[in-house]
Amino acid sequence: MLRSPVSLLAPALALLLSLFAALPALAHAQLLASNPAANALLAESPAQLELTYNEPVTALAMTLIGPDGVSADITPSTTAGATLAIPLPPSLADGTHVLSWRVISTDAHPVAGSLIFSVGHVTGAAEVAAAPTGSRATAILLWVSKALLFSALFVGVGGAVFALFAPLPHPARRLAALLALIGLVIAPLSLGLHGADALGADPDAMLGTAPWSTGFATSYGATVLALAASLALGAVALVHPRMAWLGWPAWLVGALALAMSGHAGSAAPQWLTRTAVTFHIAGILFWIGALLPIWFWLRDRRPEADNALRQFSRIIPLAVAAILVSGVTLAVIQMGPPGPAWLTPYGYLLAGKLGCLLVLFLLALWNRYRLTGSILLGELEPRLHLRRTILVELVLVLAILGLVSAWRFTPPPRGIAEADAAQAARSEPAYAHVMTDTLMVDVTAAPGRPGPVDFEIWLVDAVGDPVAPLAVEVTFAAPTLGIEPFSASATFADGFWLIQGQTIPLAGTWDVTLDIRLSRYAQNTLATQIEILP
Amino acid sequence: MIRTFARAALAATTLAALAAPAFAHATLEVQEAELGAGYKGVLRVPHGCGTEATHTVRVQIPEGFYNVKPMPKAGWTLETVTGPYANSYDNHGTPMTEGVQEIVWSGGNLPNEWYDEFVFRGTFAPTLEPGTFYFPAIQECANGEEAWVDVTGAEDAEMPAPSVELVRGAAGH
Repeated sequence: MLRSPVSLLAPALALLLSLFAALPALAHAQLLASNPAANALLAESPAQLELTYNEPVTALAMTLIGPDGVSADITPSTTAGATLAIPLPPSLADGTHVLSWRVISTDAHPVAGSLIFSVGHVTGAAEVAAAPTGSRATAILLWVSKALLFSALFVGVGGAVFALFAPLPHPARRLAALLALIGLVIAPLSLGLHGADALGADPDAMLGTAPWSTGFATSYGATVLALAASLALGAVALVHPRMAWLGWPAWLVGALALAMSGHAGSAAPQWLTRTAVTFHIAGILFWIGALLPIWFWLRDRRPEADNALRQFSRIIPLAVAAILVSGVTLAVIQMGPPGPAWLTPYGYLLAGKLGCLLVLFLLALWNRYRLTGSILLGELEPRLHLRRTILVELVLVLAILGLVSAWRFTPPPRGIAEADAAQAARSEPAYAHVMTDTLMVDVTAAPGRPGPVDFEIWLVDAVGDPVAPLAVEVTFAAPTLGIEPFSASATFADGFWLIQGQTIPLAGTWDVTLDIRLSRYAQNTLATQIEILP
Repeated sequence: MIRTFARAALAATTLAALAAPAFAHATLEVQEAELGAGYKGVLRVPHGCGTEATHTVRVQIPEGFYNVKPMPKAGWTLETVTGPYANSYDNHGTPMTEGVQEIVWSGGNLPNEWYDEFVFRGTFAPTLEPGTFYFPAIQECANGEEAWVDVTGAEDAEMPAPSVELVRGAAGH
């Protein structure tokens, strides 16, 4: 029987292949250990990484992907051997890093994998706006500085505002000017404190530049600039009675300043909230600014005093209307619909402020409708009453300013609701489903976000009956993100195969490969993809 | 410059290595067999489990490879698991309805640094389809195993089962 040339070719090829096969049999390199260990959480940035293999290898490519998703080539130039030491850039950023490695072993077979470790804390990819832990000293100083700044603004600039409508008594003018000047000193200090607070730094950090530039970069920077301008204009208007008209721009700029930052000015719709804040502050500037001059005038009976009181009585209803309408508007927007969110520090502060305001309004009404008329009729006793109630009013105003300064530290219910919604979205799981002719698999990743993720795998056969494999091994890889595969073994509990706390370092499309060992010799490999949202 | 060159050289070596059968896996020495013909399977075990020594080697004998006889090995205890075949096979006129379904070499010691071969023989049924025929094999070590059981045929399979290509006998039978 003759064989065709083609049929001779196969044995020839087989012979050739077996010659190749006669070469010494060599093994793939296997990663035996790493330092830091996989998924380690380190207190400090390591100086180098060590990968130990079962045989000598040469590094082909090493990429370090940081918490911000930026990757850096850190392939060592000369490293070879069973243990690779990979020097790291100094002081890695806090968060989760991925070393995506590729080495070649003596069998010239490239082997790749990923090592995940975290410095400081476990994160996902782009730093999830971690709230700075904060310094208590900075917070207290910031609160004090803001309370003082508000007092300086409302009494100082307020005095200049009232001077537009009535002559000021000498001591009130001097005190208001002094407060405006003090405010000019405190304004920049509060900017630095604001920056330090934003950075979560202690007050001594203000010796450096970082808190200042940070503070200035926030919306509070513009507020402080405007406040300083308002205080300066007010101070000039108070010191030089001929330039009293500067009280107008001081009033306007001061009212606008507080609309430029803060919770209220940043709520939507901004045209409404910012306008409301401006009118609110403008009204308060007039009201508080008038208290001190009137108190001083009432000390002795002079025609200017009656004049001032008459002017104040004429204008205050307008100012109070502005304060009330804008205040109610802002409260409605900030508090949102009634609910448990009202029972938060922000709600308590607002309740405290409203309580003080109620007393303040009752006093003001009493002053306006009972005392003022009598005083203008020339009675003496009501003057003493009025002076006393004005003092009480001033104390209440200071209390209110102290309360509203603390708002800086409490997100409004509106903000809390938004944060809750964002939190709920962040903990939303991601799903994947795979089906073959013999198996159905559901994979749930909770949360479906970068960071530590719990994987839950539900396995049934094609007709929905449970299957009991010997082992389930899951391999994760994200080739589009440049992350080489890494594996984890699932453990069986309560009907599910689980991998708990697996660090998924970056958002994106992840290849998830399930090696399901159905019996000793049978393994099913299923591949799917799971979308990890940023 | 030198590094770039070195990498290119490595890449070239890699390509060359990939063109040949992957030596790192547990494989069969003879990679092709004829349907209806006898076959001597030589299972080559290139390494342990990581660095651990292998003490047991198991090979599954799938349906269609019949009349199987393993070769004993000095230092290893040989056992077989037998059972009924799904089909009946003709052994030179005698119908065979049962036989070896699993071969176990146990109690041995094959350090990671050493290499060894495990031999068995049998016959491929002429009723089988041409194509890849897998012999899933497992190395067992003190604290783990290497399971060469992936029969997907994926090129980048981590742990492919040892396999042989079945072709139709040119001479017929």
